[in-house]
Amino acid sequence: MSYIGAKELKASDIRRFDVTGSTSATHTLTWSAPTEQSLIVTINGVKQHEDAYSVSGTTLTLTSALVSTDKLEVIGINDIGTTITPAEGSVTNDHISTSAAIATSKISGLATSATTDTTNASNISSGTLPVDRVPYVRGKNLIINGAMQVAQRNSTQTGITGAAQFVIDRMRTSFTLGTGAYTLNHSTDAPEGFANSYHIDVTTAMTLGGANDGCGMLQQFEGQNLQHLKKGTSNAEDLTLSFWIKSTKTGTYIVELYDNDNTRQIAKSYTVNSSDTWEKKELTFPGDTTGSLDNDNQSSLWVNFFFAAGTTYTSGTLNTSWASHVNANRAVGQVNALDSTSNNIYVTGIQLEVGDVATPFEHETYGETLAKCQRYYQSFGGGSTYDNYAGRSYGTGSAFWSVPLSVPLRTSPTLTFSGTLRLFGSSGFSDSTSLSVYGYDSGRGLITINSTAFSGLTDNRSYNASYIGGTAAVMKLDAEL
Amino acid sequence: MEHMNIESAKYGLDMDGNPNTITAVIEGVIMSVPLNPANRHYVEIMKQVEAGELTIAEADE
Repeated sequence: MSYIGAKELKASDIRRFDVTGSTSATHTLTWSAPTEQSLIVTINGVKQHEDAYSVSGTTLTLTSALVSTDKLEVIGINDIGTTITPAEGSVTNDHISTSAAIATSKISGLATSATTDTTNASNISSGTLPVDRVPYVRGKNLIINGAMQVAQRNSTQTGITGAAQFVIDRMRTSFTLGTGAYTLNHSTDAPEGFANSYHIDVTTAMTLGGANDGCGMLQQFEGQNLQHLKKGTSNAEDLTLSFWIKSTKTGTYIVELYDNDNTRQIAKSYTVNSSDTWEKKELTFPGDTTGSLDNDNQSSLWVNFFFAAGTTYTSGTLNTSWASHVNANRAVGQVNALDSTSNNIYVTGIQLEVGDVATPFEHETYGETLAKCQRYYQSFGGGSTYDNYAGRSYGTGSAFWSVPLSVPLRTSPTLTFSGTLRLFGSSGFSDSTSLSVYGYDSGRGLITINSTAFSGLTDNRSYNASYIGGTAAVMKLDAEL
Repeated sequence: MEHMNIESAKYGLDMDGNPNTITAVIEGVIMSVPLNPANRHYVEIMKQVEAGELTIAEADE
């Protein structure tokens, strides 16, 4: 009860009940009494000990029945109770049990179906939680170097007319241009939040004279990194591709996913609306219930961006559902974005993720992305560091020497060498330009190089191998897909 | 989809005299390619060999 200076915590009142002329031991109160102690029971004015009666709810039972002349009087306190609503914002984490199971329907922003599919971003999107507030998920982006940060080979390459060229790591040119040519740049032109982009600067206009002519950019994925896509099962995951593009040529462009293990393909179109303006695009590809991906280190899936395509790739109907590969259905509607030397194409911020919603781009540190790229390409030398590696001779003209790798390579790499390798020993030195990979097991952090065409070596002796030629002396190890 | 320009190819030998590499000129660059089916250059060389477009020369003894 309240009193002056005290806040009322709950309401109550005093009840009275009396009986005369009864010969019964059982009586029904007009309120529900919680305990015997909450009652004062008198018979003919004499207070009864609590042992003389019991109460259950509204039923009062005396140990002995009344006689007709008895006067029974019962006084009790009846708690009415009231609802106390905590002030808004006053309930803190400390007041919530760690084992509390809060219904998803009570969490603003989650759709009710989130109970069974809490990772489905569409549930969140359909609620009130904006997609850009989705918790940051590491490793969601299947694309390596999607922000175009890393370009180990060089920053520009001129005169590109064909396929399988790399400037920016993991981003490979696809198709043969025929009549056209372009310079590929590691550009600093990028939308807000990015520092680099993949840049095609057309230097010879492409006329699409041959049916097989085309131009594109692709990234390939190892099958062992894609098993969570559950491709080829009834639970195959949708994939959503998002990216930024800035192109001089407006109109329809095509992106395809290509299943290299099962020669299956699906394509989606998008529109470049404004010339030379950064635009973000989002495309969702349904999961493919046919054709599982090999669980190995070889090429299983491609993302292929078309920028131009000849009739070999455009004469059919665009294949917007997963189906067996038919060239004519791959790039129907694609504009020729290389039809003028005034044209430029920039791409960056590429993200391919599981689900049907494009979430914010997963930014990585340069070091994280570099390490991922070095699984596919590493270079050594090319500076003034005078790297030295331990080796040994065999015969008088050959030697092995070992190079520690930054990260293990995907597979035994192709070796390209420019400059001179000098072998230093106790009796002097000898030079060679003939290098090859002697052997490499995937997963090792060391690779053994074989070099020949030396002269005057002593068999089975220790030598130091060093690159000679400054920036021109570079050994490149290519394990790209 | 693509066709690497491979001008020449020649086997290289390991220290026991067995072929273990192919030295090839690919897109105008001399490359040492391991005999590994997971290597993209080796795959392309063998594709062109099977198509009769390329012959791999024997190694120098």
